[in-house]
Amino acid sequence: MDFVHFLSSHMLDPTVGGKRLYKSVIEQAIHAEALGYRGVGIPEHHLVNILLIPSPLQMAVKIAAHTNRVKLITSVCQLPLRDMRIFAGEVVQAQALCDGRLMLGVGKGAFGFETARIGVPIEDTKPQFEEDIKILEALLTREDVSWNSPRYSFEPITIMPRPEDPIPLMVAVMNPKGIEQAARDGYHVQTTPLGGTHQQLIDQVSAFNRGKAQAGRPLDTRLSLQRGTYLVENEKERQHIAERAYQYYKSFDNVFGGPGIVDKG
Amino acid sequence: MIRPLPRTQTLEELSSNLLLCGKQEMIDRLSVYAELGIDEVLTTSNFGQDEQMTLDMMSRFAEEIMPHFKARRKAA
Repeated sequence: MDFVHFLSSHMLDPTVGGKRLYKSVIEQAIHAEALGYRGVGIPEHHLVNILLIPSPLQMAVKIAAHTNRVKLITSVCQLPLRDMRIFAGEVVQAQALCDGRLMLGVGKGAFGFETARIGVPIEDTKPQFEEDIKILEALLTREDVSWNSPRYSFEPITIMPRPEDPIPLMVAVMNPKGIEQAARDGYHVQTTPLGGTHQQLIDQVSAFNRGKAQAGRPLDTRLSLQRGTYLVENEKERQHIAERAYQYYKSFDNVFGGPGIVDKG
Repeated sequence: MIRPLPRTQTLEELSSNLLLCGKQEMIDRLSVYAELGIDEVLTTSNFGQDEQMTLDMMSRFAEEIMPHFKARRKAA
């Protein structure tokens, strides 16, 4: 089993600023490579003070310039916030600049405050994502792609430059039905039970395995599990980190399924 | 800035749910994931603590925990 270090963040004091925040992110990525982590996960969020990397591809390219081996895994790019015709080109560019080490993790968006303020109500994110990923995959793998739907209507286009390395796609999804579908479609999957039970995790893993078996072809797709993890040295440290984590989740829960109360967001 | 809101889950309940623990418990709990066939764990460790603490913890994790799972992968 491999380990990927998530470049998450909680900016308690906004005066800390992006320069110091992103310097720390880069330091952690370099450190992760030196220590033997398989990769680093790069989040995307906007307008809030947690997980605050508005452009994961930009961050992946910066980390790639400072590393040689570690996989650069967007975790995850929110497709409904973007135009796939532009994003596909950005992904190809990023993969070239990352020397083929990019894994494109994608999702529908999880914070209702964020997606709504950018123009996509949270209830629309799932159907939009389901269309977006099909368009994205078509643009990344084929030439002369056209589309005709209420959201996208375009004559044949070919993304340039063409990708020279594979661009593995990973879908972030928590519900077992969605996991099974993503696995059946041949995608890598990232999931988490969050505060759920062990049975929930078992259901998620089972769904991945079922989907993979139903694909009808051999797949080397991977299942990634996100978990809050901190190796403590003593009880004092455990208490300190627990208090920090509790404060973090007071904010996380507010935007993830909660009322989405954000000041100056 | 997200406004921190009260939670019904207690601090201790959260702490138990997350993998905030020492070496042996960490190995035991991660082993459950390995045995389920999970390919990789995306470790979320930044909760707003001092940056050096995170770097030091990553070093300890790599030294004390990760080799246990490399050995398991080779054995498998």
